[in-house]
Amino acid sequence: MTETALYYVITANDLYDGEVVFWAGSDQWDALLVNAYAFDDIKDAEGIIAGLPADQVEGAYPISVTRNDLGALTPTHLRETIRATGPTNYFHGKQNDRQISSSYSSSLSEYDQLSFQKGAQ
Amino acid sequence: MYSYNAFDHDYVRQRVAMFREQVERRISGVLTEDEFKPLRLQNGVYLQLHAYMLRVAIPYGTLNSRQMRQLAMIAERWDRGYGHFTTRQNIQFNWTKLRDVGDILDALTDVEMHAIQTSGNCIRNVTADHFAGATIDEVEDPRITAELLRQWSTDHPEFAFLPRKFKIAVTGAEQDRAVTAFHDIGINIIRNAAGEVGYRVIIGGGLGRTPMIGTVLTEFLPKADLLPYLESVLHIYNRYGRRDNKYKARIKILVQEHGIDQIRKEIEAHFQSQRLRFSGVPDAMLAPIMAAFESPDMSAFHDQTPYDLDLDLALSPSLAAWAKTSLTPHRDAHHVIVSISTKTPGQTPGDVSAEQMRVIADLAETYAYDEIRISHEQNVILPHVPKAHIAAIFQALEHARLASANIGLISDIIACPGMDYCSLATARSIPIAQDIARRFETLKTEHDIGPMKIKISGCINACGHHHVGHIGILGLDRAGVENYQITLGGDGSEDAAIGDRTGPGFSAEHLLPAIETIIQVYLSGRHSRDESFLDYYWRVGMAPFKIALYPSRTKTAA
Repeated sequence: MTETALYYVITANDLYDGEVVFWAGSDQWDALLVNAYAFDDIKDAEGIIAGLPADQVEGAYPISVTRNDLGALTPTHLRETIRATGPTNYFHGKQNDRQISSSYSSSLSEYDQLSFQKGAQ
Repeated sequence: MYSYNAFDHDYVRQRVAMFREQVERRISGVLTEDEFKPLRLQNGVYLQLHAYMLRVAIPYGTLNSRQMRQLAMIAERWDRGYGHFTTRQNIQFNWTKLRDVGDILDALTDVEMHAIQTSGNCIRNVTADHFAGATIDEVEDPRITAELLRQWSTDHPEFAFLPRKFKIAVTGAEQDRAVTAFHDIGINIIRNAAGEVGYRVIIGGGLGRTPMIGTVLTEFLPKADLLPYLESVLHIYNRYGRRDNKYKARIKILVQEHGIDQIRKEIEAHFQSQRLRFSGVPDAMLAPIMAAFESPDMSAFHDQTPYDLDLDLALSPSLAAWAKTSLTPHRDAHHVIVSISTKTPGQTPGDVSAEQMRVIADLAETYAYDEIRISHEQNVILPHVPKAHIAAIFQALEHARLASANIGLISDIIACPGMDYCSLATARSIPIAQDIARRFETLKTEHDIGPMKIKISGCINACGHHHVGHIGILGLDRAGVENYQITLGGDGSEDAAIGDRTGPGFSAEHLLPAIETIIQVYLSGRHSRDESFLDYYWRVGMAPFKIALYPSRTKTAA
């Protein structure tokens, strides 16, 4: 499966819950990266961030992601993978209560895949 | 232990009510995040990777069973069923919701706890020796001093906006378990040649990106002078500490840039005038604090023949193995200090489930005078345990998966939350700790290796105290990939030392083999089992470790 070019997704933390959320278009935020709106150009993402109201989310910023042939988005940085899925020491984040795309873990290094597997135990 | 008086109750309730209003104003959008952030930090609320994190103060690491049960309730009701004990004797809840924080703070107030000054550029929770009041080698219980400092520093109007955070640690023992040489102010309670009890005051120690061993500011400070003297230290820091660069804003940089002699001169000059206005602490104020830390009444045991613990140990090899690492002599011959490891190999260092908290609370209440401590090494202590109850306590801990016989050994690892939780982290630390602990558990070499302190930080801020680990591990980000530097020879005890870097860092995959290599060098080179890793390192230095860790580089150099 080949990775395509870089895309950009807006992420933040929900103001009330602190939960990691992704901008899904039309002023909607979603807890799953799979539902995020992917921008071709980071400037478009930054334009949306500049116009966000102050009472919905905290600390919005763009992250880079790749999209595979099946359309699944994968962060390019491990930190963002952890934010999107949950802590790796053991699974008690989004991994536990959400359907997470298996493409996240398949994109990780061997060591990180092992960590993710151990976390699921 | 110290109990709130009417003023304390009223003050903390008012703070909670005030913070509730601030949260409402943030949620309604009246306050921007920039305006709200310093307010939430002053109440212990951080925004971390996955959620809001609430840091709750455990003053000088002391708790009772009621408080522990309340922490368990909070973990279950408002978090995900566990709490995380930190490297500064606090507890953190990693999954709180902003709208619940007011209720959580009220629940804490019900048991005389709070989250005030657990963050921000103020005097933080004062830490102390976790064996306070129980250890043999103690001049005086340091919690009396720590509580005095807590009262003095809470909401102190002059020190609410310091250049940076300010950490104070106190010990009253010869063996420094409070890491006093690495705090902004370290206080050693000592007895002088005349038999008077007073303080050795150390300043300018710290870890972080510029690790420094503190310098003695005064060798002996009379007890009555403590508060006016520290007020002068803080005044000089507040006045001259750098505010132009947060990385140079700690008092250690002030001492480094001006020299200890100049800083001492400034402090002494201020102290002379300060002393005229602030003569110290009236006895009427000190008496209830001293009374709060009186030793529990252990006289019921004093007419008895000391309990023969050896009989219990002979009957149970697992109890004997646990006792070897987990029990420390108590100043009373009928008692011992029990250390409870949170480091079951494979678990997250410092994480304790609500169920486990209740087990610990029950044990403290039933067998141990209702006293619990949290150590900066992220373990739990029962400071006063009659020897006759050791077997029962072990059995209950074993049932609760809290009976790992690894206190002070290679799997008793300090690890900061790292990139699994912390927004500042550049690499993960907990999975590294889990891997190391699992490997040496499998190898069954922990007891052969002997005393070993591995400390892991997931970024340069060094919350995992890696600089003072016998083996220190610092996780960094190298072009988006985790990379780990190793240091050797660090020591947070009274023989304070900052570890030396071995050389280039290791990828996550190669880190565990590197740690095994270090251990192998030590095991094959030590004179005997009596020569600890640290002793061996000081004898042979870095050379054999470098050769083993970087064979191709050393060959090239040769």
